[in-house]
Amino acid sequence: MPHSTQVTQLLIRWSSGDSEALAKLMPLVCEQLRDLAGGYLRNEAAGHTLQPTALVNELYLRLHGCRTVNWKNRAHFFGFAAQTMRRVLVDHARGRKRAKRGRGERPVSIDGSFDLMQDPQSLDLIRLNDALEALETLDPRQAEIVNLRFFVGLTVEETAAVLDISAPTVKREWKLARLWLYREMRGPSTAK
Amino acid sequence: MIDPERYQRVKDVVDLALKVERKAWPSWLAERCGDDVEVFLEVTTLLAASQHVDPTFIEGTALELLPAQALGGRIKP
Repeated sequence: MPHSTQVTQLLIRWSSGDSEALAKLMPLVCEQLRDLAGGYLRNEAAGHTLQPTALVNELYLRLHGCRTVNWKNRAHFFGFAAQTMRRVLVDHARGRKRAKRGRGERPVSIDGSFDLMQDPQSLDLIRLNDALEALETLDPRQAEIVNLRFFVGLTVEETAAVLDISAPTVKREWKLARLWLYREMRGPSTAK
Repeated sequence: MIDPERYQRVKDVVDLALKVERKAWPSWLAERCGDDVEVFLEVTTLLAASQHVDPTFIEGTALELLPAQALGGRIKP
């Protein structure tokens, strides 16, 4: 059974009062995140072997740490996973940027033009994080949808189940959030 | 930045506008936004973004978009 289906079924069981479902959910989510990282590493390998670094190790450690938290509900649990992923990845991006400056290299994606989004590899996670922080003050639910979809990799249906809203609502909010974030990341000409 | 309450209105207008023919936007938006210049500006800049947004923008997951060296060091085969 695909992980996403299992996760959805466990979410439904959990919401129906099955407390054991949560215990089964946590390792599945960790595994899903590991698969994401592993799949990426395999795709990038292209004749090379990639060795997980401190980034991935840190991610696993922080996610395993969440086993001791007393979860209020699904949204609380996945919100933690999303925030953990986001914090680790953004901290890492900041570290890389500082290292590049130290070596006198030109930072990637500095001008916020449309071009910087043409190559998915050049997405500036630091700017995305800044834009998401602004969106959190404007529309917390919309920002949460982005966190869950982008940083945890949940599908529209899984996101809907986690937040207890309809899939069409997730689709609509996701579409509008993408436009808002894209506009914000274009640069200083953005209307604020 | 626009306030959260009015942002909900902006979202409604943008969502509806995306279902309307683009050439009809000027008169349609003028009617929808009325005298609210701030909402009008928010809506028009978001609609402008809809015309340029890269289809790959934040599609996929954060891990997939990271440079290879961020996740692992290369080892010779």
